[in-house]
Amino acid sequence: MSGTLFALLERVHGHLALLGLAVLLHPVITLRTRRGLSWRMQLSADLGALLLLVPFALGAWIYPTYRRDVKPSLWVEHHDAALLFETKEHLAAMAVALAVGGALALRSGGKQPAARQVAWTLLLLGWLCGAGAGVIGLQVAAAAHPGF
Amino acid sequence: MRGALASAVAAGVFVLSYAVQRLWSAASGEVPYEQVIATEHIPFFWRCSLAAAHALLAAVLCRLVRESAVEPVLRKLPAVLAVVVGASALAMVWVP
Repeated sequence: MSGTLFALLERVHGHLALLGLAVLLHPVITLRTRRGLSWRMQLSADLGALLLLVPFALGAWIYPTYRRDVKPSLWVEHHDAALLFETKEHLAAMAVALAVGGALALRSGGKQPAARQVAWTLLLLGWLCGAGAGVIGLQVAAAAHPGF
Repeated sequence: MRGALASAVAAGVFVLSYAVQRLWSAASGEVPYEQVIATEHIPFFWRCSLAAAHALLAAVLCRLVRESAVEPVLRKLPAVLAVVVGASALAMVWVP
């Protein structure tokens, strides 16, 4: 993979994940503030989960290149950032699993209050893990930037 | 309702499995960094794959739960999920 393609995919990965977190906030809020389940809540939960799943897949695609071409110098020059990157990967994997689980739980039993509560918990926890991964990702990107 | 239970339990099991695998590899001593980059072995992929397999198995097992038992379990699940995910996320911050 060329450096240009890696940089492009890395940026798309980050921007899509940010968009996914923004969309996921809708069901996290509305499941708490409104009674019942509307098609908009379901759509935003599905879309939010998908918008986290796609950048996760993109991240997995560029991960071997990162390990080969970026991680060695990051490890030497910014050791803390390299460790933070690992934490980001852990939190991102958890966020995707929780968001997808939440969207599926909402789709399967969203008409029942107990199932809605579980779905809300999953989506909220997924959002928190995703937000944590996003903040850490920003820190790592700042450290990995070549600078001027 | 069984579908909601299966989805929720699968997500929780994925998170728990991932965290336990990472902690296990940290405790038992993962392959040294210099050797890891020299091979195609990528622990993150293996960890995610195994956690997904565990989640799938948990989802299948949840399908066997009696319909009458699903709602009581669902009512207790949010607290359990919060503890499991909270502990796992903190562990992953503690052990990168």
